[in-house]
Amino acid sequence: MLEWLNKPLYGDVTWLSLIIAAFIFFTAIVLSKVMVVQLRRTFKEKMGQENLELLAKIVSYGILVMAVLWIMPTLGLEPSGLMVAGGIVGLAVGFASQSIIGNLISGLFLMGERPVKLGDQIMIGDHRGFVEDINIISMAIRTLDGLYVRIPNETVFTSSITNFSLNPVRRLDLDIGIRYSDDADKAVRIIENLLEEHPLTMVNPPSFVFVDNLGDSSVDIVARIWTPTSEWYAVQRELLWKIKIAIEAEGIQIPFPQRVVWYGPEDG
Amino acid sequence: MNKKQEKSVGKPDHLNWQYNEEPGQKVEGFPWGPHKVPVYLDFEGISISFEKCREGLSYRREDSFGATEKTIIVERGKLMFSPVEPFHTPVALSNHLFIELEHPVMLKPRTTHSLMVTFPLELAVAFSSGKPGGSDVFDIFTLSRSKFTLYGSIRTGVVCKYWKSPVYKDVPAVNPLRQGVMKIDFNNQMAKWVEVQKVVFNAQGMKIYYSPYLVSLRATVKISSEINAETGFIDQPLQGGMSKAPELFSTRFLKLPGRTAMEEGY
Repeated sequence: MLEWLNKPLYGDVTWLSLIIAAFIFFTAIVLSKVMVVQLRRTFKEKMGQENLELLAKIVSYGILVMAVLWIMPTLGLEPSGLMVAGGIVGLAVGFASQSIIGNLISGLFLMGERPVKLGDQIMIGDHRGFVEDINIISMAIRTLDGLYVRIPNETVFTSSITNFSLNPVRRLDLDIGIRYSDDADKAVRIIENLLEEHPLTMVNPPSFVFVDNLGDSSVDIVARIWTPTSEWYAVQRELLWKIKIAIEAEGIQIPFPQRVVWYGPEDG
Repeated sequence: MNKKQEKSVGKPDHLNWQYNEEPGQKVEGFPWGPHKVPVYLDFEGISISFEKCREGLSYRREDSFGATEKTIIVERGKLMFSPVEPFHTPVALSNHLFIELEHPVMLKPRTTHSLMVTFPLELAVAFSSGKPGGSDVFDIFTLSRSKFTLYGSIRTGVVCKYWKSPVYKDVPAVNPLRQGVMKIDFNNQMAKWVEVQKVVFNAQGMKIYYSPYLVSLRATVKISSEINAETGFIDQPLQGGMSKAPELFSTRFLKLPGRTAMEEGY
């Protein structure tokens, strides 16, 4: 009844060997999925997310590649023959896929250098956003206005990368202009007190508030404030307006641009 | 009669609480621990109520910044007050507490010396259904001043909750709602005098104990070189009759819970 299983399909390959190959391949797929789930469960709290995803991909693809190499002889394909053929095909494919290879190698270097990790806020070229995915070919970021941008690794590798999240603290610079008739020392004291009271301005590194410039229309005070990196935007949003309200409550005003015009006597 | 006055009607006597820092005045302890519904509590400008409502139990905390309201969909249960590790407000962004000593402490070579400092507190409000595992914190607030600082360099440092404390020989009289008292055993393992200006502790493994009048913690600081020290905690109350506060930072996966290596000086 099962004699058809031994009926050759082509060469020495029978229906049975085809079923065995399919069984091995699907078992490998299931095994790779199980391994990935198990890895994620085991190392979730012990490894960084990007390293864990990389490990999961290596294990998953590794199992599949081994399964393919295993079933090749069953299907009448010799891996050694494939290597010879692969050499010739590889040459042709290599020319056609220079950019892919470039991205791949750049991806490997980036994984070694690790200038960014998942969740970091970065700027690459004109793109600024949060890193959503890092893989061997490209990097995906979610821009601040919610767009998905995929950047090839070669572009990432050859561009300057600004990582806003890497260091634990970040400096915020606020410029405040006051009238020439106002007491700048008093304004500095008011701003210093405000910073002292604010819970998210760091004790160390300390903040500095000083007169930075004598401008055309105002005495320019600058506040250099260190905050925890994750709270930088929140502090920026909150502080500038609070400073404005605090100094105006003490009679100090922020002037509009102004120009003094002198009229001389008419000639003749 | 306004709403607040209405709530005060029927306030149980044992929940009347007042703290006064003036010497010679009577100090009533804070009613930590479980309380049956309804609970009405006013202290330090904060008003808390926990009472039955149509949906279940209603919690409300009111202070000068506004009000927090929560409804718990359950028929009965108790309200728990306890002090907890000071790492949840205003933003939970650090697991380390940095205590700067108001005056540096000089330690003799190869000696151990115990001193007291204060540390900031946060107050946790939990609901307990009375069943095992049926207790959960649903509100955390603080009366202590919150600031952050960096321990180490801008590139590799750690953001820490900041606190500045005087150094005491004996247990100081402090407001147990705002500050706890930490007894630190300083152990100078070096063959020379050392000067200690700051200590850094990990949130994991903080063993806080409380009584109506005192919140305490016991810690160790081992100084092993010019810039290296190791801090840790001792699981013991400072006085008898104290209860253990819940630990909100788990130490299950840590081999050495609460140990912090200070590698950037002390």
